Amino acid sequence: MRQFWAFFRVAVADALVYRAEGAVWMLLEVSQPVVALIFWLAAFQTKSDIAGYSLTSMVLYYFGIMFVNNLVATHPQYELSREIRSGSFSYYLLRPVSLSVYKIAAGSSWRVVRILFFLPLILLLVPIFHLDLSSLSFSPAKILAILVSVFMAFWLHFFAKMILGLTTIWFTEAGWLFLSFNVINSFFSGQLIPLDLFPAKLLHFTNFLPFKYFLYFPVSLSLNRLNQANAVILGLAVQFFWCLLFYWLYHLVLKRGTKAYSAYGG
Amino acid sequence: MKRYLKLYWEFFKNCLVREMEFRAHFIFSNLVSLSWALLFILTFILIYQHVDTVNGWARPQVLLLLAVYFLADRIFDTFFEINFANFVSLVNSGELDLVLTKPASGQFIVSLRYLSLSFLVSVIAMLALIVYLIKTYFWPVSMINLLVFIFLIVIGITISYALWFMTLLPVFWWGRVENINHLFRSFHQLARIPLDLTGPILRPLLTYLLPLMFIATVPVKSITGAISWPLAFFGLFAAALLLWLSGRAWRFALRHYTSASS
Repeated sequence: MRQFWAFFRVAVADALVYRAEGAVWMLLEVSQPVVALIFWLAAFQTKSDIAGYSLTSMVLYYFGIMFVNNLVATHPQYELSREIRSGSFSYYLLRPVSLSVYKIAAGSSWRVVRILFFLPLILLLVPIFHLDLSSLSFSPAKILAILVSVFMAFWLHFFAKMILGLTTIWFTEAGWLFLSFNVINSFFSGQLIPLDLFPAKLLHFTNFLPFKYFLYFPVSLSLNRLNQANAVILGLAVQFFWCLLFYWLYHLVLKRGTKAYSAYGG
Repeated sequence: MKRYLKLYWEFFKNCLVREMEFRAHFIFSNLVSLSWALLFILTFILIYQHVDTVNGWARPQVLLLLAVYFLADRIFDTFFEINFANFVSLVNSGELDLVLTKPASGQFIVSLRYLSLSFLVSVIAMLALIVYLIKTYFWPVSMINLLVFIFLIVIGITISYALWFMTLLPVFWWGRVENINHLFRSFHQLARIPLDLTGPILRPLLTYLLPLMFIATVPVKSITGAISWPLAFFGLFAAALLLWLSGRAWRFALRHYTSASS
């Protein structure tokens, strides 16, 4: 933990230096839901209910997506990939630092700085889309469930992308893999449209994929879309299962990868 | 003009050889960029399972709009994106010196030196989708509408280029913004939806001030409805003006080039 805070402080300072860069990434992450919302505003003019969503709940959904995505979606794979190709990956192997602790500190510091940028932007968007929070209610148990779920979503993002980054050891150039992951994830995690709009069979299919738990599940939980306690508990349990699986996979890939890693240039 | 065509032909041959060296990369990157476009189009097919029409935009119209958007976007990516991605390091490393000393327009070289074939399959697929949609849902279309449609797509790409290029130039002052080439993408993405269904503030803004309307919405309307001639001429005017402005902005920004580290 001490190691974490030390890395975290350095990384926050680093993220603050690259403010403009952070702002550009944030705009890019926010623009997609905003564009979708502009379309939905028009769509709800002639219909008041679309797949169980009212205009108010649809606006809430995309704000939830923006907010949770900004909190949980880390991207350690790009830097990790660069480090493996340049050989500076050896740093983690030679020194008494844990790769995952270092990367979590770096990733979460960016998230913290990102939220600082994000809040004023959200405040700007609230009146434009008439965000209405009155339908939300929070009990202490629910707040706890949301926090746990958001944390697990962060965990899933982080380890999934670390695994992707480590594949650079075998592929050398894995950019296409990162991109494919993003494409599939943005579709199946509910980032583009709520999964409730999927036809029944496809919706059923998403239950067997991890992506739902990257974004859609914590967002639905926060927005009161899951009302039965056992649905919440089952969801959290499945999310926890995926967390364990990704964590285990990460360690497996790291172990194999360390053996295969050839440290050129390092 | 002829000189520049000849120059571009040389760039083209050079990049073709380069791209063909990495065949696996060529295949994978094409597949990914195509699947992204197709998945995005699929989300709208799913949306239209629940709604019939949005402000006059039924499913075929919206699909045509998306196909035109992705066609324009992938053409842009093919010719410009790869160069824009390189632009920041060109300025920050001082390598821009090599460009500026060449006996040709600097803006031409920094915008068009490289060409990517990663989007070739998407371009072909989107063209096929456009032809299919027009034949199935909108045929017959008069020759003049078809020509205006193509003309407006070119206008849209020109407008995207000029606006996008201008958003790169602050790097001469700010330096350390490695991802400034993604700044305009956030705004460009607006063109993915029918922009005439935006409100009374955004609509004139996106038609006249930041004419993203011309990337997909206006071209599609010339197929699905009547051509608005004043709008088509305004598009031509806006594209010419923005292109000229991008040249002026480039020369202005160059005066702040410090030629660092060279």
